[in-house]
Amino acid sequence: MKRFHSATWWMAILFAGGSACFVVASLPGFVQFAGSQVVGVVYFVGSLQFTAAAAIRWLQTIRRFGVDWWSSAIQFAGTLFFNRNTYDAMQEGLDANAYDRLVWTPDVLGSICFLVSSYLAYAQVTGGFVRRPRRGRESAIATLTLGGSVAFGIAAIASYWVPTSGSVLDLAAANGFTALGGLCFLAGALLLLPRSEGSSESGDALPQQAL
Amino acid sequence: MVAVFAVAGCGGGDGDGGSSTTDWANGVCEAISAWGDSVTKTGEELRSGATKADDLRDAVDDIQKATETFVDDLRKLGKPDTEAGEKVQESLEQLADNVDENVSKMQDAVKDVEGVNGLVAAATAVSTTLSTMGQQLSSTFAELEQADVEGELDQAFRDADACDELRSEGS
Repeated sequence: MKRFHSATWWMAILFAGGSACFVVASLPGFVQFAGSQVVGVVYFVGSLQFTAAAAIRWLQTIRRFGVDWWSSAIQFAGTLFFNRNTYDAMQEGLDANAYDRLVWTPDVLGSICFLVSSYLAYAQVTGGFVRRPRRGRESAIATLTLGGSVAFGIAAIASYWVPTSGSVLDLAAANGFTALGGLCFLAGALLLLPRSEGSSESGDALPQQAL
Repeated sequence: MVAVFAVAGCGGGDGDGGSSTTDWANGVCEAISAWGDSVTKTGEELRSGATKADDLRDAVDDIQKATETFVDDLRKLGKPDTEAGEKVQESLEQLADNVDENVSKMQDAVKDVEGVNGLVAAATAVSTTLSTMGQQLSSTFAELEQADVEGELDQAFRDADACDELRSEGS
Protein backbone atom coordinates (compact mmCIF):
# COMPACT_ATOMS: atom_id res chain seq x y z
CA MET A 1 0.00 0.00 0.00
CA LYS A 2 1.32 3.41 -0.93
CA ARG A 3 2.41 5.52 2.03
CA PHE A 4 2.19 9.26 2.15
CA HIS A 5 4.58 11.31 4.17
CA SER A 6 3.26 14.02 6.44
CA ALA A 7 3.49 17.70 5.55
CA THR A 8 6.03 18.09 8.34
CA TRP A 9 8.19 15.38 6.79
CA TRP A 10 8.17 17.22 3.45
CA MET A 11 8.84 20.52 5.16
CA ALA A 12 11.81 19.06 7.03
CA ILE A 13 13.20 17.41 3.89
CA LEU A 14 12.86 20.60 1.85
CA PHE A 15 14.46 22.73 4.59
CA ALA A 16 17.26 20.16 4.87
CA GLY A 17 17.74 20.11 1.08
CA GLY A 18 17.79 23.90 0.86
CA SER A 19 20.23 24.16 3.75
CA ALA A 20 22.50 21.51 2.24
CA CYS A 21 22.57 23.49 -1.02
CA PHE A 22 23.59 26.65 0.83
CA VAL A 23 26.30 24.77 2.75
CA VAL A 24 27.74 23.13 -0.36
CA ALA A 25 27.66 26.32 -2.47
CA SER A 26 29.52 28.30 0.19
CA LEU A 27 32.17 25.67 0.91
CA PRO A 28 35.74 26.87 0.29
CA GLY A 29 36.97 25.64 -3.06
CA PHE A 30 33.54 24.72 -4.45
CA VAL A 31 33.49 27.69 -6.79
CA GLN A 32 36.93 26.73 -8.15
CA PHE A 33 35.79 23.13 -8.52
CA ALA A 34 32.38 23.69 -10.08
CA GLY A 35 32.52 27.23 -11.49
CA SER A 36 30.46 30.24 -10.49
CA GLN A 37 27.54 29.31 -12.77
CA VAL A 38 27.02 26.00 -10.94
CA VAL A 39 27.37 27.76 -7.59
CA GLY A 40 24.65 30.21 -8.65
CA VAL A 41 22.33 27.37 -9.68
CA VAL A 42 22.93 25.48 -6.40
CA TYR A 43 22.04 28.60 -4.38
CA PHE A 44 18.91 29.16 -6.47
CA VAL A 45 17.75 25.54 -6.15
CA GLY A 46 18.37 25.76 -2.40
CA SER A 47 16.31 28.94 -2.15
CA LEU A 48 13.42 27.28 -4.04
CA GLN A 49 13.46 24.42 -1.55
CA PHE A 50 13.39 26.94 1.30
CA THR A 51 10.38 28.62 -0.32
CA ALA A 52 8.52 25.32 -0.73
CA ALA A 53 9.26 24.38 2.88
CA ALA A 54 8.23 27.80 4.18
CA ALA A 55 5.03 27.65 2.12
CA ILE A 56 4.13 24.29 3.70
CA ARG A 57 4.81 25.73 7.15
CA TRP A 58 2.69 28.78 6.43
CA LEU A 59 -0.17 26.65 5.08
CA GLN A 60 -0.07 24.60 8.27
CA THR A 61 -0.63 27.74 10.34
CA ILE A 62 -3.16 29.43 8.07
CA ARG A 63 -6.10 28.62 10.36
CA ARG A 64 -4.23 29.53 13.53
CA PHE A 65 -3.71 33.26 13.29
CA GLY A 66 -1.18 34.27 15.91
CA VAL A 67 2.56 34.39 16.56
CA ASP A 68 3.11 31.15 14.66
CA TRP A 69 1.23 32.50 11.65
CA TRP A 70 3.28 35.71 11.66
CA SER A 71 6.51 33.76 12.06
CA SER A 72 5.77 31.47 9.14
CA ALA A 73 4.41 34.26 6.92
CA ILE A 74 7.50 36.42 7.51
CA GLN A 75 9.76 33.44 6.87
CA PHE A 76 7.89 32.74 3.61
CA ALA A 77 8.39 36.38 2.57
CA GLY A 78 12.10 36.02 3.40
CA THR A 79 12.43 33.00 1.15
CA LEU A 80 10.88 34.98 -1.72
CA PHE A 81 13.59 37.62 -1.23
CA PHE A 82 16.19 34.83 -1.34
CA ASN A 83 14.62 33.56 -4.59
CA ARG A 84 15.01 37.02 -6.07
CA ASN A 85 18.55 37.45 -4.77
CA THR A 86 19.82 34.06 -5.93
CA TYR A 87 18.09 34.40 -9.32
CA ASP A 88 19.59 37.83 -9.95
CA ALA A 89 23.00 36.55 -8.88
CA MET A 90 23.02 34.25 -11.93
CA GLN A 91 22.38 37.04 -14.42
CA GLU A 92 25.03 37.68 -17.04
CA GLY A 93 26.21 40.99 -18.43
CA LEU A 94 25.68 43.01 -15.26
CA ASP A 95 28.39 45.18 -13.81
CA ALA A 96 29.46 45.25 -10.19
CA ASN A 97 27.35 48.36 -9.55
CA ALA A 98 24.19 46.30 -10.11
CA TYR A 99 25.16 43.78 -7.44
CA ASP A 100 24.22 45.83 -4.35
CA ARG A 101 20.82 46.69 -5.81
CA LEU A 102 19.86 43.35 -7.33
CA VAL A 103 21.63 40.82 -5.13
CA TRP A 104 22.67 42.37 -1.85
CA THR A 105 19.47 44.30 -1.01
CA PRO A 106 17.10 41.30 -1.35
CA ASP A 107 19.68 39.22 0.55
CA VAL A 108 19.58 41.64 3.49
CA LEU A 109 15.77 41.87 3.38
CA GLY A 110 15.50 38.06 3.32
CA SER A 111 17.91 37.82 6.23
CA ILE A 112 15.91 40.36 8.25
CA CYS A 113 12.74 38.35 7.59
CA PHE A 114 14.48 35.15 8.72
CA LEU A 115 15.75 36.87 11.87
CA VAL A 116 12.32 38.22 12.82
CA SER A 117 10.60 34.94 11.98
CA SER A 118 13.02 32.75 13.89
CA TYR A 119 12.99 35.10 16.87
CA LEU A 120 9.19 34.94 17.01
CA ALA A 121 9.39 31.14 16.81
CA TYR A 122 12.08 31.07 19.50
CA ALA A 123 9.99 33.29 21.79
CA GLN A 124 6.96 31.11 21.26
CA VAL A 125 8.86 27.93 22.10
CA THR A 126 10.70 29.32 25.10
CA GLY A 127 7.63 31.16 26.40
CA GLY A 128 9.05 34.68 26.25
CA PHE A 129 11.13 37.05 24.17
CA VAL A 130 14.12 37.01 26.50
CA ARG A 131 13.80 33.55 28.02
CA ARG A 132 16.66 31.08 27.94
CA PRO A 133 16.05 28.00 25.80
CA ARG A 134 14.62 24.97 27.62
CA ARG A 135 15.99 21.50 27.19
CA GLY A 136 14.28 19.49 24.51
CA ARG A 137 13.95 18.93 20.83
CA GLU A 138 11.63 21.85 20.21
CA SER A 139 13.94 24.33 21.91
CA ALA A 140 16.94 22.89 20.10
CA ILE A 141 15.25 23.41 16.74
CA ALA A 142 14.23 26.97 17.64
CA THR A 143 17.73 27.79 18.88
CA LEU A 144 19.40 26.31 15.80
CA THR A 145 17.05 28.21 13.51
CA LEU A 146 17.70 31.47 15.34
CA GLY A 147 21.45 30.79 15.22
CA GLY A 148 21.20 30.06 11.49
CA SER A 149 19.31 33.29 10.89
CA VAL A 150 21.91 35.31 12.80
CA ALA A 151 24.66 33.68 10.71
CA PHE A 152 22.77 34.46 7.48
CA GLY A 153 22.41 38.07 8.68
CA ILE A 154 26.15 38.40 9.33
CA ALA A 155 26.87 36.82 5.94
CA ALA A 156 24.58 39.34 4.26
CA ILE A 157 26.36 42.28 5.91
CA ALA A 158 29.78 40.84 5.01
CA SER A 159 28.80 40.47 1.35
CA TYR A 160 28.21 44.19 0.79
CA TRP A 161 30.09 45.44 -2.27
CA VAL A 162 32.12 48.51 -1.30
CA PRO A 163 32.49 50.56 -4.49
CA THR A 164 35.39 52.63 -3.16
CA SER A 165 37.51 49.54 -2.48
CA GLY A 166 36.36 47.54 -5.49
CA SER A 167 35.65 44.50 -3.35
CA VAL A 168 33.15 42.81 -1.09
CA LEU A 169 33.38 43.79 2.61
CA ASP A 170 34.59 40.34 3.68
CA LEU A 171 34.12 37.51 1.21
CA ALA A 172 35.52 34.83 3.52
CA ALA A 173 33.14 35.86 6.32
CA ALA A 174 30.23 35.98 3.87
CA ASN A 175 30.91 32.40 2.74
CA GLY A 176 31.82 31.14 6.20
CA PHE A 177 28.67 32.48 7.86
CA THR A 178 26.48 31.29 5.00
CA ALA A 179 27.90 27.79 5.51
CA LEU A 180 27.41 28.06 9.27
CA GLY A 181 23.84 29.29 8.86
CA GLY A 182 23.13 26.48 6.41
CA LEU A 183 24.51 23.92 8.88
CA CYS A 184 22.30 25.28 11.68
CA PHE A 185 19.21 25.08 9.45
CA LEU A 186 20.22 21.61 8.29
CA ALA A 187 20.56 20.36 11.87
CA GLY A 188 17.23 21.97 12.81
CA ALA A 189 15.50 20.43 9.80
CA LEU A 190 16.88 16.97 10.55
CA LEU A 191 15.67 17.26 14.14
CA LEU A 192 12.25 18.09 12.78
CA LEU A 193 12.04 14.80 10.89
CA PRO A 194 9.74 12.26 12.52
CA ARG A 195 11.79 9.70 14.45
CA SER A 196 10.58 6.79 12.32
CA GLU A 197 8.46 6.09 9.28
CA GLY A 198 5.73 4.82 11.61
CA SER A 199 5.45 8.18 13.23
CA SER A 200 4.73 9.93 9.96
CA GLU A 201 1.03 9.87 10.67
CA SER A 202 1.59 12.03 13.69
CA GLY A 203 4.20 14.15 11.99
CA ASP A 204 2.07 17.26 12.04
CA ALA A 205 2.13 17.19 15.80
CA LEU A 206 5.87 17.75 15.71
CA PRO A 207 7.25 21.13 16.61
CA GLN A 208 7.22 22.75 13.17
CA GLN A 209 6.48 26.10 14.83
CA ALA A 210 10.05 26.01 16.14
CA LEU A 211 11.48 26.55 12.67
CA MET B 1 52.95 51.14 -4.21
CA VAL B 2 54.80 53.96 -5.92
CA ALA B 3 54.80 55.95 -2.68
CA VAL B 4 56.37 53.03 -0.85
CA PHE B 5 59.15 52.88 -3.38
CA ALA B 6 59.76 56.60 -3.27
CA VAL B 7 59.99 56.49 0.51
CA ALA B 8 62.45 53.64 0.26
CA GLY B 9 64.48 55.58 -2.27
CA CYS B 10 64.58 58.73 -0.16
CA GLY B 11 65.98 57.34 3.07
CA GLY B 12 69.55 56.67 4.15
CA GLY B 13 72.74 58.65 3.91
CA ASP B 14 75.29 59.54 1.23
CA GLY B 15 76.72 56.60 -0.61
CA ASP B 16 78.98 56.19 -3.60
CA GLY B 17 76.95 53.97 -5.91
CA GLY B 18 78.74 54.59 -9.24
CA SER B 19 77.20 54.72 -12.74
CA SER B 20 76.54 50.99 -13.13
CA THR B 21 74.47 51.03 -9.95
CA THR B 22 72.63 54.09 -11.23
CA ASP B 23 71.85 52.22 -14.47
CA TRP B 24 70.58 49.35 -12.38
CA ALA B 25 68.39 51.72 -10.35
CA ASN B 26 67.11 53.24 -13.61
CA GLY B 27 66.15 49.75 -14.76
CA VAL B 28 64.30 49.02 -11.52
CA CYS B 29 62.38 52.29 -11.67
CA GLU B 30 61.45 51.84 -15.35
CA ALA B 31 60.20 48.32 -14.66
CA ILE B 32 58.14 49.39 -11.65
CA SER B 33 56.76 52.42 -13.46
CA ALA B 34 55.44 50.42 -16.41
CA TRP B 35 54.07 47.67 -14.21
CA GLY B 36 52.56 50.13 -11.72
CA ASP B 37 50.64 51.91 -14.50
CA SER B 38 48.94 48.67 -15.51
CA VAL B 39 48.13 47.68 -11.93
CA THR B 40 46.83 51.15 -11.06
CA LYS B 41 44.58 51.14 -14.13
CA THR B 42 43.00 47.86 -13.04
CA GLY B 43 42.53 49.11 -9.49
CA GLU B 44 40.75 52.21 -10.78
CA GLU B 45 38.49 50.12 -13.02
CA LEU B 46 37.51 47.94 -10.08
CA ARG B 47 36.73 50.95 -7.94
CA SER B 48 34.56 52.47 -10.67
CA GLY B 49 32.19 49.52 -10.12
CA ALA B 50 31.22 49.50 -13.80
CA THR B 51 33.36 46.43 -14.43
CA LYS B 52 31.76 43.55 -16.30
CA ALA B 53 33.14 40.02 -16.41
CA ASP B 54 34.87 40.55 -19.78
CA ASP B 55 36.37 43.85 -18.60
CA LEU B 56 37.76 42.10 -15.54
CA ARG B 57 39.28 39.31 -17.64
CA ASP B 58 40.81 41.88 -20.02
CA ALA B 59 42.23 43.83 -17.08
CA VAL B 60 43.82 40.71 -15.59
CA ASP B 61 45.23 39.81 -19.03
CA ASP B 62 46.79 43.29 -19.18
CA ILE B 63 48.26 42.80 -15.69
CA GLN B 64 49.57 39.39 -16.71
CA LYS B 65 51.38 40.84 -19.76
CA ALA B 66 52.75 43.77 -17.75
CA THR B 67 53.87 41.40 -15.00
CA GLU B 68 55.63 39.11 -17.45
CA THR B 69 57.62 42.09 -18.71
CA PHE B 70 58.22 43.31 -15.16
CA VAL B 71 59.50 39.94 -13.96
CA ASP B 72 61.73 39.53 -17.05
CA ASP B 73 63.13 43.02 -16.59
CA LEU B 74 63.86 42.45 -12.90
CA ARG B 75 65.61 39.16 -13.62
CA LYS B 76 67.65 40.66 -16.47
CA LEU B 77 68.89 43.44 -14.20
CA GLY B 78 70.94 40.99 -12.20
CA LYS B 79 72.59 42.23 -9.08
CA PRO B 80 73.69 45.82 -8.47
CA ASP B 81 77.37 46.54 -8.07
CA THR B 82 77.13 47.25 -4.37
CA GLU B 83 78.19 45.68 -1.10
CA ALA B 84 74.78 44.09 -0.62
CA GLY B 85 74.31 43.22 -4.31
CA GLU B 86 73.73 39.51 -3.66
CA LYS B 87 71.09 40.16 -1.02
CA VAL B 88 69.36 42.77 -3.18
CA GLN B 89 69.18 40.38 -6.12
CA GLU B 90 67.72 37.66 -3.89
CA SER B 91 65.03 40.03 -2.66
CA LEU B 92 64.09 41.08 -6.17
CA GLU B 93 64.05 37.46 -7.36
CA GLN B 94 61.70 36.66 -4.51
CA LEU B 95 59.50 39.61 -5.43
CA ALA B 96 59.39 38.43 -9.05
CA ASP B 97 58.33 34.92 -7.95
CA ASN B 98 55.64 36.28 -5.61
CA VAL B 99 54.23 38.63 -8.22
CA ASP B 100 54.18 35.82 -10.78
CA GLU B 101 52.30 33.56 -8.36
CA ASN B 102 49.77 36.26 -7.53
CA VAL B 103 49.03 36.91 -11.18
CA SER B 104 48.28 33.20 -11.60
CA LYS B 105 45.85 33.46 -8.66
CA MET B 106 44.11 36.39 -10.34
CA GLN B 107 43.85 34.49 -13.62
CA ASP B 108 42.29 31.52 -11.80
CA ALA B 109 39.81 33.84 -10.08
CA VAL B 110 38.53 35.39 -13.31
CA LYS B 111 38.74 32.31 -15.53
CA ASP B 112 35.15 31.03 -15.35
CA VAL B 113 33.28 34.01 -14.00
CA GLU B 114 29.52 33.73 -14.58
CA GLY B 115 26.79 35.93 -13.12
CA VAL B 116 27.07 39.06 -11.05
CA ASN B 117 27.79 37.06 -7.89
CA GLY B 118 30.77 35.39 -9.58
CA LEU B 119 31.91 38.74 -10.94
CA VAL B 120 31.87 40.35 -7.51
CA ALA B 121 33.71 37.40 -5.94
CA ALA B 122 36.34 37.49 -8.70
CA ALA B 123 36.74 41.27 -8.45
CA THR B 124 37.21 40.90 -4.69
CA ALA B 125 39.87 38.24 -5.25
CA VAL B 126 41.68 40.48 -7.77
CA SER B 127 41.43 43.49 -5.46
CA THR B 128 42.78 41.50 -2.50
CA THR B 129 45.62 40.10 -4.60
CA LEU B 130 46.56 43.56 -5.87
CA SER B 131 46.74 44.73 -2.28
CA THR B 132 48.93 41.74 -1.38
CA MET B 133 51.26 42.57 -4.26
CA GLY B 134 51.52 46.13 -2.99
CA GLN B 135 52.50 44.84 0.45
CA GLN B 136 55.08 42.50 -1.11
CA LEU B 137 56.61 45.37 -3.06
CA SER B 138 56.66 47.44 0.10
CA SER B 139 58.36 44.73 2.16
CA THR B 140 60.89 44.10 -0.62
CA PHE B 141 61.96 47.72 -0.49
CA ALA B 142 62.12 47.59 3.27
CA GLU B 143 64.51 44.66 2.85
CA LEU B 144 66.59 46.61 0.32
CA GLU B 145 66.75 49.55 2.70
CA GLN B 146 67.97 47.30 5.48
CA ALA B 147 70.55 45.67 3.24
CA ASP B 148 71.82 49.01 1.94
CA VAL B 149 73.95 49.79 4.98
CA GLU B 150 76.42 51.86 2.96
CA GLY B 151 73.65 53.94 1.35
CA GLU B 152 74.90 53.06 -2.15
CA LEU B 153 71.49 52.07 -3.45
CA ASP B 154 69.88 55.11 -1.95
CA GLN B 155 72.29 57.34 -3.83
CA ALA B 156 71.78 55.39 -7.05
CA PHE B 157 68.00 55.79 -6.78
CA ARG B 158 68.49 59.52 -6.23
CA ASP B 159 70.74 59.77 -9.30
CA ALA B 160 68.54 57.66 -11.58
CA ASP B 161 66.41 59.81 -13.92
CA ALA B 162 63.70 57.15 -14.27
CA CYS B 163 63.16 57.34 -10.51
CA ASP B 164 62.37 61.08 -10.54
CA GLU B 165 58.83 60.51 -11.79
CA LEU B 166 58.18 57.80 -9.21
CA ARG B 167 59.56 60.01 -6.47
CA SER B 168 57.31 62.91 -7.48
CA GLU B 169 54.26 60.62 -7.66
CA GLY B 170 55.06 59.27 -4.25
CA SER B 171 55.67 62.57 -2.53
